[in-house]
Amino acid sequence: MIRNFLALLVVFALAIAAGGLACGDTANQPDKDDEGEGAT
Amino acid sequence: MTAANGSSTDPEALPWPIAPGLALAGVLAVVALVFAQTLGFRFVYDDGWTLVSNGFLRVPDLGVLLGPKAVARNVPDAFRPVQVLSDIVLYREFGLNAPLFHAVSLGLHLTVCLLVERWLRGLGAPILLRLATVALFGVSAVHAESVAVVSFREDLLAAALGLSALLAADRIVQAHTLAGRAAWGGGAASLMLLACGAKMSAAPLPVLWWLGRGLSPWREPTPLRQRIPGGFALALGVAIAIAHRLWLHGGLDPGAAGDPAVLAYRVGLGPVLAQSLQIHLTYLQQMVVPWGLSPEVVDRGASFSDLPTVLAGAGLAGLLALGVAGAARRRRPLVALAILGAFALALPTSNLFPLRNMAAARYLYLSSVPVYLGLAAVCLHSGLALARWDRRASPVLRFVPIAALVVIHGAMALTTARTYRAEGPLWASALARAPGSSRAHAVTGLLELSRLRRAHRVTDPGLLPRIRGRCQNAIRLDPQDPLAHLCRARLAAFERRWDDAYREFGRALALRGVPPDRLEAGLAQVGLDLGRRPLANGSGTTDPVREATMRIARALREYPYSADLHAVAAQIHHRLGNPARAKALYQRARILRPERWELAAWGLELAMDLGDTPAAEVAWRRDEPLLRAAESPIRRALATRFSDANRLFPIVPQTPPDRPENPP
Repeated sequence: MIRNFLALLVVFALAIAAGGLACGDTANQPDKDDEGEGAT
Repeated sequence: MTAANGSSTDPEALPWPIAPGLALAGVLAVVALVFAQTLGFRFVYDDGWTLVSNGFLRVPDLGVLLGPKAVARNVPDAFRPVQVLSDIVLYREFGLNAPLFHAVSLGLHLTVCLLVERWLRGLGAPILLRLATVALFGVSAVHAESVAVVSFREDLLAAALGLSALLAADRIVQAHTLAGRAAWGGGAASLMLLACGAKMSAAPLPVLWWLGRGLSPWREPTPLRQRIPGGFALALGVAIAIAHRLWLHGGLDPGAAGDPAVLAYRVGLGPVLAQSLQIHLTYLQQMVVPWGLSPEVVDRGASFSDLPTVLAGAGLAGLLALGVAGAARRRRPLVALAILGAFALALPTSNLFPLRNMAAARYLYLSSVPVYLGLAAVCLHSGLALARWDRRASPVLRFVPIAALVVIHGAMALTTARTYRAEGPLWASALARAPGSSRAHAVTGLLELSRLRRAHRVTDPGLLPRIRGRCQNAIRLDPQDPLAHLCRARLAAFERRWDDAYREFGRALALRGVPPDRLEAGLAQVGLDLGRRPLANGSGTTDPVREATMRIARALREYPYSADLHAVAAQIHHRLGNPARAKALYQRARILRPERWELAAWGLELAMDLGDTPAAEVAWRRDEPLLRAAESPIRRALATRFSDANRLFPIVPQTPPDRPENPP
């Protein structure tokens, strides 16, 4: 039963990951460190 | 105990023979997986001025932090002393290691999930409902901002400390002796005080506790006589925190008090509250269906007669009425707890008090707890109805609604959190989702200008016109935005239009909203380049050297923890030929921000300018690891200059050897 539970968790994680990829932002933006001016 | 349909009615029984602890661990594991990507994120947003360049973290003083000097010395975020204290401890342990800071945020979020489960268990909520609530709360996309941005850890801290306070208050109810009640009462009050010291959004938590104990959806309500000590202890913690803030800062949100960037001061409270009705209905939509989330929201006013305001007001009023009706004689206590609890926790960010940002996803962190309790109950109830409708279907059908919502939220949380991985994608997303935001245009322009200044050859001829356009857009969208003027000031300084730069720095300083130390530094530097200007009364000209040195001296007194200000002050004195003063300021700047390679480079240049080759030699050897972070052309130029200095001013060994003066 624990194995089934772990399998269920893996299914959840994969479903979330697949959904995240499907909704992902594909815009390519530089990730280089820049210090911003803050938001607040 | 078994129900008529064969299912167990034991509230602690799961449909499968799994220990509740293991099931909870599984839920927390999924939450951790959703936000694990944040471990690879950089510092963004307010991390710059609260962590990276915050000199107070390097030379902390608790007496200053908790007293009036914190205000006088402009300690960043001083009105949230618990958050600052946590930053001090974490910086001491981790330095500026971004993954470790993010790990702490993730750990705090998991802790809050655990505390939510404990609080609900204390009220007698069944295990399935607790797990469903924790799952929804844990993976909610609206929490991506709070978990992914290090400086918004204040929301997580306030929630963790506040929920711990509620658990301590529960122990007061359970205690049998006066000594026990007093001990737990002290604990509850202290934890509540610390929670409010992290963020004042925790202040309504005593109301949530009172509602939970009074409505008590799963047990007999706690008698009033037994609730009073717990409620008093929690309220006492909040009262002390409020009194401390009012004493030190004269207001609940000192950052926003009198700030012209706060919309309420420009258009009045009425239009802000009208718009706030729409904002809160949008919050509810985003908590249920995670759509339309954005790192940036444009502040605007509305009218109470606008149709969206009327509909939003009616919707929220209807919900409130439902909550009140449910509370009357405990007709529907769970509905009442979810609705009234959410309304109470939403009060601090309801725009009844002036806020610099009218709307932000991070405001929902605490107030989403009762919302997700209600939503989890709705999902489980609908799943049960679905399973009963088709008796031949698998019993797993009852979990389809909650599972679907968890997967949707988790997927959106993955995507939303990625926005905050670095400044570039963050502000690109902000610009795309809120094209009417002056701040998004200004910050994007400033970031692009920063990259242009670091680049040693211009590969994109359209970059400078694009930056110019961003600054212009920012001004056009909001002439009162100090960031828009800062954008124009920095661009003008880059293009050596000193008059324009001086004027725009001055305007940004007058408008507030940007850390003034950088603006004072900009004005002092540009003032030197501007040269002599005619006085307004026509009686002569200004003295730019005297003006710059006086301005920088005053700013250093007001911002003693500003590393960047000390660095600019050092450069100004270096330029004016005051080497002793420049050296002292470079040393101070390095104490306040030891990670900045530019300070090492400038100090090395000062030593070489003075012909002090031994000091330059010591500085070069000491700072070589730090200087590796510099761009290659700069490193090569420094190495060439150092080599020339060694050739022109060779180090002559003396007997006994003189120790070089302490290098900058």
